[in-house]
Amino acid sequence: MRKERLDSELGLLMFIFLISSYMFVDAIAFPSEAAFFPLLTSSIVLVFTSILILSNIFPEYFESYIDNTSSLTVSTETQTTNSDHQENIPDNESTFNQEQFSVSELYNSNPIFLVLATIGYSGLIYPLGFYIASPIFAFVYGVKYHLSRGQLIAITCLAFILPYIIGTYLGVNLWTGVMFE
Amino acid sequence: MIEAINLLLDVNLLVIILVGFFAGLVLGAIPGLGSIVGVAIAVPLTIFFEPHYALLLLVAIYEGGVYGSSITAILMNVPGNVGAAATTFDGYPMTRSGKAVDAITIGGIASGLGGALMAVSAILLVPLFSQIVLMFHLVDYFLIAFLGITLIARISEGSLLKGIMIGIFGFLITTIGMAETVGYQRYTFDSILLFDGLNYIAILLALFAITEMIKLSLGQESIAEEIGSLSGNRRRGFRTLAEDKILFIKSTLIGAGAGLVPGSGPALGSFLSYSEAVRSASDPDSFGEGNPKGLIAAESANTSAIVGALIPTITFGVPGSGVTAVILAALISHGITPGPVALTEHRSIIIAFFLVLIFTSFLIVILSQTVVPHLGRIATIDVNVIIPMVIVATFIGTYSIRTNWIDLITLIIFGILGFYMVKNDFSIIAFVLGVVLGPIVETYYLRSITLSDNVFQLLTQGPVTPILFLVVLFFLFEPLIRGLYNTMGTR
Repeated sequence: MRKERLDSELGLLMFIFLISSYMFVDAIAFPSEAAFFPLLTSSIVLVFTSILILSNIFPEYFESYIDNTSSLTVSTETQTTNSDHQENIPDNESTFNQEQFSVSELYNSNPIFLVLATIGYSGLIYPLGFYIASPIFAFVYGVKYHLSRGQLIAITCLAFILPYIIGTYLGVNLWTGVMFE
Repeated sequence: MIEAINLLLDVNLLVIILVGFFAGLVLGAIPGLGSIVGVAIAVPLTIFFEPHYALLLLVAIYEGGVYGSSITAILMNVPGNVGAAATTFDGYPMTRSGKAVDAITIGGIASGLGGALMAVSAILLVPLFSQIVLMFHLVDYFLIAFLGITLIARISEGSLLKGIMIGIFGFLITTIGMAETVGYQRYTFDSILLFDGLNYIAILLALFAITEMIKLSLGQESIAEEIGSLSGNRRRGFRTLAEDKILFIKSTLIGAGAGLVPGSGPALGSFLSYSEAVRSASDPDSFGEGNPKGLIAAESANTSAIVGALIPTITFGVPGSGVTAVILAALISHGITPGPVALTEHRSIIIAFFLVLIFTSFLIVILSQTVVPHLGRIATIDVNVIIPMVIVATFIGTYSIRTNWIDLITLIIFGILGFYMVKNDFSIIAFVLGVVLGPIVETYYLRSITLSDNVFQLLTQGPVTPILFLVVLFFLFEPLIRGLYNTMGTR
């Protein structure tokens, strides 16, 4: 599990490093006023990601040089909670930590399906538009998770009505798809 | 003040606030959702509203969400979000011991009065905030944004380096598109889709709606089970709260103080006041077994922290929590830049913010005595019904902002990126702050540099600037220096 975490962290850091490197190199050619902010921020990001990447690859050496003990929320929680209290605490406000990713969750296919379905949904929007793609997405999602017939009908209808409500309410012409243009 | 009251004397607005509050209440009661998803989805849907309609609706959703998460915390031991986790410690044991009605009464009144008390204090302090912000120069706001990111990185879980790096990466992302101050296209690949850059509301929705749904999909069933009939005594609950007035006031102040800390939000407030209640109690062993004092401490701090979190958001543009980061984005998108502009030109809207909090706080008190005991079953909703609806609403809302396809691609990329950020303890709030404040920070810097001959003159403009600069340097490099110092000490 530790290895899997490190792999995903390293992947994320490498992604940020590559993006920042490109932005740094590209910014050199900008006029000075336009270049200052991207150069400043990309160089800070590059320095920090380099340290973090190295600390991922050589944790024994780097962990002693980087003090990570800063989390006030962690320390207070530790003081005030016990194992019983922690049982059912879902996380929000983006503060959940590695303990919440158990081994089984790391190999959970649900997030993968959700991401693929979402990509599929966005892919369908172009040819079919929001009015058709949305109920298809909701229906497929509902079928995959064996929702009851009532729930399936409800979410499909809601996903069909939602674009109408929001489009009419906001006065926005939602995309109707190349097939129906 | 009169102008703020006049703003609220609008039937349509009151209806919107009520709808927002109840929507927040329902979303807050659903474990894993919380007010943040509600507020995030509402931002694009309210982009065409009058600013005060949009912003007051968001505040109402926020307050409703915070209280909604407490209901299921008390009745089912399932807090809607981490801010209500401390409520479960004594709230749920009270329910189990047949005092559910007592707990709901105590929780509702402590929560409502705590929020109202701090909102009144905030209204009284608005003139003082206005005076304080006028002491700051443009370059100070540039430094405050950096300081905000370092402070958020300190409060959030994970390493400081990660927090600071991801916050500044947020700044970097905002340089994509036309640099308006200098009229130059950056990183657009000559594509018209990228001409206006990445939309920060699309990024917010990706991080707070898509990422949250991916997280929610990890646990596929409804977390809570149906609750049975409730027992207890409302009058006894009220009496218990009246006997602990000092604890209530102390916890309210702790909550508001903790809310002021960037990135902390109601979670830190409720945990801190709960620990203080345990520390100062004559019977600390009874906490965690249904001691009403624990519930009073957690709940009064929970809502007062909302007020605390809004203050740095409005005055300096440094959000006190994830939800206030979204509210900050909404403020900016409606042309209300935090700082002097917000507190002088839009003072009536800012006061109306706090008036709405007073109004919704009293709603909490009333609802806790009437319908709330029946709302616990919201937590039993199957998450698979919610996930596709949130995704569809997010896509439509995002597309509506500027009908740009790049925003839908942004949703997917940053939704996945956000999931890995959270999984590896990178502070999403720091990243959001970077994304929201990036363009403003760059403008502040460019404007202030044109007013100064050199960097030294820039940093010695007034008494605040050099101090802020040193504080930013300290917080930025302190983890490295401390690490090096510790390593040298052990050798």
